[in-house]
Amino acid sequence: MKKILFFGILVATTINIQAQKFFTKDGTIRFFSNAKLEKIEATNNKASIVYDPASGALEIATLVKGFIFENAFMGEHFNETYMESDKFPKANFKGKLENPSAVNVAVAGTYKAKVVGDLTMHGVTKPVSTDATFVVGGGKIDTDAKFSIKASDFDVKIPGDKSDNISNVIEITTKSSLTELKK
Amino acid sequence: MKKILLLLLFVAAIAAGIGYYLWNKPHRTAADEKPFVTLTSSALLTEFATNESATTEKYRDKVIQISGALIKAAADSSGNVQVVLEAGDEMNTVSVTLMNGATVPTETPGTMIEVKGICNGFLPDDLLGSEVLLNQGVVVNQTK
Repeated sequence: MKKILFFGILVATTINIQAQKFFTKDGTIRFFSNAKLEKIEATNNKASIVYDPASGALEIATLVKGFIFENAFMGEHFNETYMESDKFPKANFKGKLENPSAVNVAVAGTYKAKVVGDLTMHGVTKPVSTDATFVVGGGKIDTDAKFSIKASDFDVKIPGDKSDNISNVIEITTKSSLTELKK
Repeated sequence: MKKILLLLLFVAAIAAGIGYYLWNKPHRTAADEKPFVTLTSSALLTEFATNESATTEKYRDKVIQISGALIKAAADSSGNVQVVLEAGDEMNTVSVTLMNGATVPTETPGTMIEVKGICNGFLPDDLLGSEVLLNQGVVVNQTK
């Protein structure tokens, strides 16, 4: 009986650990366009991110209008001409760690893992993948990832006369500090 | 001939002037505008949660003044101050990114605070709680 009870507790504890998800509502997404004549950068600090260490599932959601540009004029063009953010207000990523066990949230340390999934923006969904860093420690997980997309893949048209100002290859950097979701 | 040249020069100068103005146009902020609507954070969130697309159409890019209990206020990684207000319960929130150069409100969590900002939209989330996002905001006043 004692053994069964012990086993029961063990199973319950394990399930409990596995059920813990990590999240933030203040994730950072930065994009950078490095064209011949101009460098354009914008940052969005309101990405919501959920990471489930058990399954490796990773989801990111953000509002396109949340990108802040140094130059107001660029921001207007980004929203109106290129991203059409009234029509497509959100951008999101749904994916997972290729190998969920690559990150051990129970042991502090720095882990590298490949993240694969689908990025949806401007009404188009495309597969993306990148190597991400996960730093576990102090009750949180700091994430860091960088990858490039092509604007043309997402049906974002850059007119020929703007090709020296806006690059078709856009570098995206994400950073976040995830804390345990207590529910 | 000289007149035409002068006229062309004049037109070019105006075009350059407009271009320069547009390029250096300051960010639109909520500070300079009267609110389109004034309501509580929970009323705003309920409206979005009930009908997201209609409410987005109604409030998108409009200056909204909201009052609610402060959950937290802190500078984000870009140095912009984010003010998060409770909207009904602790899970659901309204988050206002203040305009560049704003200082962090010193009120303690739980204090009622009134903020206005430009509405960006809604991020619904059953797991994390939903959030209405505003930016280029400013703290209007604080009441006990």
